[in-house]
Amino acid sequence: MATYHLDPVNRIEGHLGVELTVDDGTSAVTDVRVKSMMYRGFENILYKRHQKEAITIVQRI
Amino acid sequence: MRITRRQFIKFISATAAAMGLNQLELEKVAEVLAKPSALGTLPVLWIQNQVCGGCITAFAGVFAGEVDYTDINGDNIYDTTGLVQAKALNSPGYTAGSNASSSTVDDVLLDVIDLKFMNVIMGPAGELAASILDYYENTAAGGSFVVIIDGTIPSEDKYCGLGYVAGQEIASPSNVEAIAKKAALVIAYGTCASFGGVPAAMNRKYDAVSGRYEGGMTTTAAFAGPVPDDWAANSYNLLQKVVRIPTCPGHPEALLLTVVDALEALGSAYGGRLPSGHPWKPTVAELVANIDSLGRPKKSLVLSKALGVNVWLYGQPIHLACPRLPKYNLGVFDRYFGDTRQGCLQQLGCQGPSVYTPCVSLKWNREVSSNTTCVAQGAPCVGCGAPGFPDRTLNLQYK
Amino acid sequence: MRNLILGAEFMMSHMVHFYALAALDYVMGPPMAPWTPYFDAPTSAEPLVAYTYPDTYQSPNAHRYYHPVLRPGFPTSTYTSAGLVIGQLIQPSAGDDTTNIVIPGYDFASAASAAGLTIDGSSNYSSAAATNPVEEVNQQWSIWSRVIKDYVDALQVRRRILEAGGMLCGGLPMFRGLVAGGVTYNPTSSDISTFSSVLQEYTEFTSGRYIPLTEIVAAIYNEYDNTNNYGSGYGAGCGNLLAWGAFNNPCATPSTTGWGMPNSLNKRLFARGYYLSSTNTIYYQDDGKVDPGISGTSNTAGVVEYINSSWYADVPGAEHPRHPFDGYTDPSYTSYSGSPKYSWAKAPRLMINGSPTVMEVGPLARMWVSQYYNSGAPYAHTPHAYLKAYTLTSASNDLTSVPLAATHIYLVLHNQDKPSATPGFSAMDRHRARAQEALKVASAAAIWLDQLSSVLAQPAYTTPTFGTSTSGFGSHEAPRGALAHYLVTDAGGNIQNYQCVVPSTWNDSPADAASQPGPIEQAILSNNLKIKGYAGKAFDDQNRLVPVEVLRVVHSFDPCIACTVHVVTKKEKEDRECGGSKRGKVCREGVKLR
Repeated sequence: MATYHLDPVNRIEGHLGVELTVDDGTSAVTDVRVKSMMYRGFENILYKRHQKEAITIVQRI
Repeated sequence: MRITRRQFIKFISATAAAMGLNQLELEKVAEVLAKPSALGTLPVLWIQNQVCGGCITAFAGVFAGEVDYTDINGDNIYDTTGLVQAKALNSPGYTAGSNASSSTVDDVLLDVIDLKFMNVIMGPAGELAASILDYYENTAAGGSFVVIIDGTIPSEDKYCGLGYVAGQEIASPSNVEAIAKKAALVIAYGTCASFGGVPAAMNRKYDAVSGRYEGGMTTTAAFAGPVPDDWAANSYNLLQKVVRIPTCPGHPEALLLTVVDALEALGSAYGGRLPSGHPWKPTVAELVANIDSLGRPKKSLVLSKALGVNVWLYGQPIHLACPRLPKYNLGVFDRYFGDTRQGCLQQLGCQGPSVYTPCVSLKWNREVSSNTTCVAQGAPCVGCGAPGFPDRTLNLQYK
Repeated sequence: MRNLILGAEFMMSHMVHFYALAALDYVMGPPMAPWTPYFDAPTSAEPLVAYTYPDTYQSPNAHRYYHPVLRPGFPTSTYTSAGLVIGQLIQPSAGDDTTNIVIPGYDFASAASAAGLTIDGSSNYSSAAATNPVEEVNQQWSIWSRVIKDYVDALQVRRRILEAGGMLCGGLPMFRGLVAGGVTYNPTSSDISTFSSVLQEYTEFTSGRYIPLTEIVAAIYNEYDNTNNYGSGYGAGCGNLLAWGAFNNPCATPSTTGWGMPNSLNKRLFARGYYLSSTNTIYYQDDGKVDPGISGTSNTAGVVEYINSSWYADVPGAEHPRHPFDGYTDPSYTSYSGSPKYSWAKAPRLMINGSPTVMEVGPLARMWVSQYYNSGAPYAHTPHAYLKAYTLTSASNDLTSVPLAATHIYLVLHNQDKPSATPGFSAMDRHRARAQEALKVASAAAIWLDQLSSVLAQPAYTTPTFGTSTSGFGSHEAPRGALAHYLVTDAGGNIQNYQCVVPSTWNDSPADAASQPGPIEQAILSNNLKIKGYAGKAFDDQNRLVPVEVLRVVHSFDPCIACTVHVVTKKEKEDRECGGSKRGKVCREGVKLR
């Protein structure tokens, strides 16, 4: 068993990585972690703004 | 490297037995996939940082009009929208109608640029893809490639991982900075890369006085910013400036025209196709002078020379070319959104007089309608292409 | 108008997803960057040298991730030796109605006739192959060329449909003309006819090329397809589907009820509800079974988010899981790997009677919950042509182990629902559902255009009321799945708390506190997915992992980490007066802001 990193996944929007544990004998995937690799903080950016600004800002999510 | 026409025709002949396509369709495929190879073309890396996907969506919709008009030299090339397609530059002096088709994203990918890396569209993934970035960071010669940067640059690597290769993580900003500082050109596409954009907006949860965040949080958020100027201040960079193409999303035709300007000014070794001395061909000095103090190209040099008029990109505030300017002059203002007066939008928060972008000269969503742009459709300019968006410029007035 | 704008996003997004994002897992792209280097590139010098072309494409050991019919240069003379046919032309079975199978470019009836093939209704094509080899060779299709041409054409079609939506709102993908309260632009009848003609082109492409291609790819790569593989398709996933519903009928009175089965006259195109594999039942909001605005009761499922596997910190005394109204976001990165926390995504779960349940969202979820797609039989209520692959020499369609020269792959077009349809999910079911949803939205868009043209005189905007000291949420569907934004406002109308639970949060989610992996994680683990690798190894000769199998499963979800949800308006009015609590009335129809 060994752990491999498939990163970047590509042909998606944004940045995603997949950590795989593969059985050496059977080549089957026995464990997986899907990792979202990007953080921008929209929920924090919106704090204390008037709600009418939200639509312009969250379009850019 | 691109395949040559000869190689492609040979391949198509081998496939000739499989006539899933009729002859006409096959020729179209051949035409699309086998342009005459450029004398030399700089590889391009399109690196996405903290992105929303809008710039890619917009660039996938690039549309540079039909060709067939008469230019200042009497060459018969016509263009319905005021843009000369990039392809037309292949063969100056060609006759009318001989190349009448538009420049779209497939043309750009197959003909104008040699795109080595772009997360959203590239075939490979995982280490196979990350090794390409690794190559350009560590092995490729400085000045042998161009970088287009999309998305905000985070303050720390942990906010934007880009991949994993050879036992190591790669991320933005560290690895992107290393690659960009070796590039011949650094182009920042979209407001995020140009000025910071939405992810760089004020995060109001942080209290600078106390140094803490409301609710007891102690960690910093993903403070992010634009591509720093010093990424271009090195001996490899041909312009010594980061070229910025703001608006949110980045204006696709503005990017295409800027790339064409750069390739033509730099000459055939970099993929430029106009022969030296051609009247449309800008010089490198003109290219540099065309970049304003904020890094934005003022106008499209090739087009302006070809058409004999200034084709403004970022050199003129949108107010001066706004379709509602006549109403402004008459003092007719929209009182609320959707006002059938179709008046000036100033009272609804329009930032037009202080925003320098190509929105009204080139418009948006160009193929299907000649009328798609914010102000034409009653939406006040929120300054999405201006420094300080959104904090400084977002001011919609709901009435 | 908002339906049309969002609908244009759906249509563009689905088409882009299949052709530009997913297809390259199954089809070799044009032989140049950025489509190269190919997976299992045969030389160790990849990816850094010029790519030579194309002589090695059809040799048996090269590029074995891609089926030969989906590589360039197929077929070649090497593989048309007498009696052995690969990629035989599609031919119908006895009793199939060939006249109604309309797929442009695939003229089955005359091709079958020209090949001298009789429609005998049996699976035994060997006799046909033995007696008519020459005709069969002439009838072989280059599916690869077709796919490449479609890829290029799809880029044009998606541009136009997106622009058609943008024409109504100041441009897409960032709509400037869509504000709280409506749209700033008053469309004209000329806009409607432009949209209509673009929509026509989109509809024809989708029904004539996009949908059939999903069937072809599912038949060729049937190990990723539940339906063509007797229930063992890779990428099955958790089997629970969630949809918040979408696309009000704009001419009906906005209603907080009517979230059940779609009824085009009164309700919505897509229903709000969820499906559980364990009970094989769909539960609708109309029956009080689910509500995104609560964290769940014994009867009504609700939403919570976990952060135990996510790079966020808990506030002591107020730990997650929490409903988004009570949520908070305190980023706290640990490490790239080796820690229990491994993702920036929180883990939303549907709380069903106190039990956190993993839910998948997306086109498959919507189509299933609204009962438009079921049991692998597309268009459950209408007959539909589908493709199935047959082989003569091997029951498994494991192309990496069977020498090509001895493999016959016949793609057969059948009419009617499959005789042995197997309920369930798989990577290919998602691709099919997405394509069929694109057509569904396109058909609905034609109706909305019609409705719009009859109300052009009415204003597109009404001044909204912004609430104070209240909370509210907007829930709808984005192209990739169920979307909800929650906010709480203070006395000045400013945002006290804003939480987004977007489609990819559901799908890309990490494990929750009950150690249940997220939907994509479960899909990768489904049905014992193996990484076959290059020449039988999991690594190429540069010691790089070559994980195409995993990519195929991940891409079927159409993940979006940024979540290209550029239209996030709420389409219905939610009345949240909950007897005495601080949660008051939501804003007027328009946006989720209050």
